[in-house]
Amino acid sequence: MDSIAEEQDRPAETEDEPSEEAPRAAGTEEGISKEDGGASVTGEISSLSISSADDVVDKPEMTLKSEKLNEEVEAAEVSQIKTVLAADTPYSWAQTFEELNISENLLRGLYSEMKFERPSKIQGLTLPMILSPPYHHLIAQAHNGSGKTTCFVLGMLSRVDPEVQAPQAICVCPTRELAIQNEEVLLKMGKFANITSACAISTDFNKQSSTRRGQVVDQVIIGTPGTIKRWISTKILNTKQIKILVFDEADHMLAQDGFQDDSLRIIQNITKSNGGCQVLFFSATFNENVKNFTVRIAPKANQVFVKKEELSLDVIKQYRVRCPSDAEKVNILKDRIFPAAEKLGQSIIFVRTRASASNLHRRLDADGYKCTSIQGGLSNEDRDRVIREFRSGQTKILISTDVLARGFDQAQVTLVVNYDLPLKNAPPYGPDYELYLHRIGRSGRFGRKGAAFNLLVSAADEENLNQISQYFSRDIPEVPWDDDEAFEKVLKEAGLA
Amino acid sequence: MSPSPSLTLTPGSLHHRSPEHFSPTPDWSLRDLKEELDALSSKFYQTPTQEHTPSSHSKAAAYSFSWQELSVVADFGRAGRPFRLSAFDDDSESDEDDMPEVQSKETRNNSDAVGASQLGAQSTMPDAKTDGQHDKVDSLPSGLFCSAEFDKRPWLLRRSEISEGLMLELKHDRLQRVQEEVRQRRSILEWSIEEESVKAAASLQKVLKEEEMKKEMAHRLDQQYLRSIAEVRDTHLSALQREHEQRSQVEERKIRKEAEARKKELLAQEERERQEKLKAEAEAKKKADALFAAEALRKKLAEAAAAAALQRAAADRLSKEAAEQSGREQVAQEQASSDITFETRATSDPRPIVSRTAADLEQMRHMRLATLLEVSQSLQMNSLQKKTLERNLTKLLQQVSATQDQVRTKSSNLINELGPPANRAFTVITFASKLMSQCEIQVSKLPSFAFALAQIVVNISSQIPEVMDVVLASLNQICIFTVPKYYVFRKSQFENDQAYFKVCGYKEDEGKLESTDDYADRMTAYVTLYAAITQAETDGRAHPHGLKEGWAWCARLLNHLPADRLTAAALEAYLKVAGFRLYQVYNRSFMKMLHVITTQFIPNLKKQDDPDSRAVVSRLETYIVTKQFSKEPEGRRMPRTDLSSSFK
Repeated sequence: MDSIAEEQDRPAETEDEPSEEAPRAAGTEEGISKEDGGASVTGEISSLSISSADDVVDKPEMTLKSEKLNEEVEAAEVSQIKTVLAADTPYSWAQTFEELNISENLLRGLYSEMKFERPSKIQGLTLPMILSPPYHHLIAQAHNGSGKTTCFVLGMLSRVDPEVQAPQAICVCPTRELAIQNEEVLLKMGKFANITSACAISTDFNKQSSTRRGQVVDQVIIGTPGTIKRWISTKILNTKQIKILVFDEADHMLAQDGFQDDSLRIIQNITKSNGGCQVLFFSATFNENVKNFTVRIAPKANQVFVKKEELSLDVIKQYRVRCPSDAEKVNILKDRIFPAAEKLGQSIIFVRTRASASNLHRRLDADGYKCTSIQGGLSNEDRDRVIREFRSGQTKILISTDVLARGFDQAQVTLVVNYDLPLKNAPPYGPDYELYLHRIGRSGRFGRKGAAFNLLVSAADEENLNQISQYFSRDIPEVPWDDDEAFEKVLKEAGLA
Repeated sequence: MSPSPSLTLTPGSLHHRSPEHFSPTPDWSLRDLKEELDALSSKFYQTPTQEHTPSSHSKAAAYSFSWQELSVVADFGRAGRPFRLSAFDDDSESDEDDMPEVQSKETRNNSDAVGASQLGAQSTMPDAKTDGQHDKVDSLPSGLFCSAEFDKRPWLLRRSEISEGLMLELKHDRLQRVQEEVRQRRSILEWSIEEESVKAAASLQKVLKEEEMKKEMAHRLDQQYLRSIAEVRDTHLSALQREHEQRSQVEERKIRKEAEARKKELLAQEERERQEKLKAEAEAKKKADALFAAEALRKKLAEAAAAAALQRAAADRLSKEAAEQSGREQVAQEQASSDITFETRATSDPRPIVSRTAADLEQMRHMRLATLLEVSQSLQMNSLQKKTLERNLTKLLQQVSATQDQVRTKSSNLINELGPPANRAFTVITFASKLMSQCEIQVSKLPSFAFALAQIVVNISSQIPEVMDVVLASLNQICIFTVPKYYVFRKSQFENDQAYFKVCGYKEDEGKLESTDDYADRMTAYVTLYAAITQAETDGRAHPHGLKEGWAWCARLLNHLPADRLTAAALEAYLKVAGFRLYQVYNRSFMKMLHVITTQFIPNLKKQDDPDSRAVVSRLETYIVTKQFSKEPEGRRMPRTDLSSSFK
């Protein structure tokens, strides 16, 4: 089902988002690069203009990550991870953080602030590559929530010399939220390390203010490509001492329709000024084009890739519920699913339009739930607050349009509901597989059990879900909508009851 | 007026004795008076030669008269005569006095008159003061004067009468003035004394009244205290009773168990006896058979050798059968006895490491939970009812969020839902189990959420006290570290690793035990909730399981449990949540406890050199070194309400 059909259900709906701002689906290895070519993303999505229309379909926000990154449990076995090592460096696989030879202060941060016990598989694998000379580049693809952020944040922190008061590490992220949250992780992990950081993002109110600031002396810079580029070109960011450059969500950063130009310019700038530094590319998904491109600009790089089938679908139980009508959906949620799930942590419900978000919000609120909704129409400040309050447990249910799709890490989220299925907004219309993956990846973080329910009404819904099911070669069993016992049974399977 | 003359007289007569005497209080007796009067009367009659006194009337009269007198100086003092009578009284007195005294009096009077000093006047004026009567007073000094003149030359009229008269008049005037003044002062004094006394009386009254009031108040307070003491005693006694009941239940249970065991033993013994009897019978039968066979054999011995052989074979078979039977019996018996030993092995649980009080408390809670469970099972409820209640409780617990408003709302909702006492056994147990689920899923990943859940528990238990017991019992059941107790693996106590892990509370999912990491995570979550409960603040009411218990928990853990990764994780989780309050309340002792942790617990932990415990050691050290206990833990102070849930 495509968005045209969607609009027929709601005649009043006006799709005022231009099609080129359609959900950006990063392809996987054996990718969907052909379909991918059509879709494109422009600019920093977070700074898009606020539209007043209620029935707007939000574009997917790139990653909103939380500070909680306890990535102790690994979904994939090492054998499932393909690695390509550049040199003959005998990289060992670190079993403990002590082996990595990182400073006492960083260890303290890892244990006390991050609550880590030992490196996850991906961390144990990539950290020796990042941290041992001669500091090769690294291209790494790993699951959502497997510990990527920790890898590069720890990498940056350990490469920085606290004695030198100059920028030594740069991390480039596609959105301001992601930048803020990566910085939060960095501050937390580096709490005892005496390393300062600066966040290079545009501010809502006064874009000029950032350009007028003085020379940056913080050792780690995290920011969005536009602002970082501006900082470099206005000479307030000196790149002479940069030792390590990280691209988070690298597929997006290097895609032609993404931030490719900005990213390349930043790389060139830094190489010109100090003759090269270590570059890390991290992402949950890489499509073939981006991958090739990455390999081209970073030859001799170490590579760590995970195959498509192994992307984190195993731990999350997925179900479909055929609802008799749109109106029945909310009742199924609050009368069938919630009361049966005693081990429900927090939930995220994905809806397609702002109107249905508001409607759902009202209904759940009336039933006594503390829920909150996030959508494109909110100001940055409001959006930050929504995330913060959800994260601290002040609200238990998050209703989201696609702004939240990627990378939002909330460990206690155990249930994801696709109130509306994820669809591509631009031709070729159809189900958006990547978005689906990112959505259900919000629950079951770090191997924890979780469940995803897809609520279907029309035949088109059914068809779309079948395609998704086929694409990931996963069976998505049905739960009869009016059978409490069936719900209890599947919730038990998923570890929620 | 009648007593005044005597009064005037008497002090007058006494004034040389005590010239300053001035007090209105007479210090003479009636006898003195009489004597004096007698003396006077006798004198009077002896010397009736009294001349006139010129100025006993008004001043003007005195004046004109003196002029008249002046003009008739040479004449006899007839004009004075009619006055003599009026003045003799005084004269008699002055007659009595000796001259120098009088003079001195006069001189003094004069000097005083000039200075208008009251004091000077006083010495001569005592009488005037005391009676305050005019005529008498002014007559007196003039009398004195005259008498002095007349003493010298009683028959002569005076010379220079004008000046003397003037003098007299002046004196008189002055005297009157002084007297007036004195009188005024006196009246003022009297008045003020009176006033003073009235005031004193009033204040006395006030004081009395106040005293009474105070007494009453004290009485009332006393009663109130008595009442509250009685109340406290009552609740204490009822608590004691409850505890006793629980203890007796425990005892009863033990006794019942023992009785059952004894019964089983008895049964087993009976069985054994029965089997023995059977065996005996079988043997007897066998013997009989053998005898019979032997007899038959003997009988038939003569008959035929072949037949004899046959018979022997039959006997053999029989005996074999008998042997077999007895063998079988023996096996059965062995089986039975082995059953018994197995049972005894099963009843002797592996012994945990735990302090005795903690174990007792746990046992008590457990008993209480068990009895409630029995009650709830015996409840007349259909499954639909149960399901509805369960779902409602699940839902309400899910709706708890980390804001004060929502916690309050959901507390009261839950109290309502748990409310009807009829089903309470069921609802309370269900609530506790749902709470454990929430703890496992939500607290393990968002530890600060424990504060919200703990507040819910404390709020509800203030209305429904058994909730606290049941929640603690559930915690104890699901997480041995909340007791705190611990098991050490001993071959003699556990059949295998699996059994050991099970006793420790590892979860089993489809035959696979959870990993120790997961287990540690889960246990940490329960301890976090437990810690949050102990440190939760009640609004004024007594906390049924407060910081005191929390302190005891720490002490028990440090005193009894071995230091390893899991106990350290539990300790760290507890301190993270409740250390802040412990530090506030127990300050010094808390620091001592931390000292014990750094000097004993952590070194013990490090000695084992377990790579798995490195993280927790680092965390504990960081906690102590960076003094995290002095900062309020994140999430403890919940915001009143959230701001984002109202976005529509």
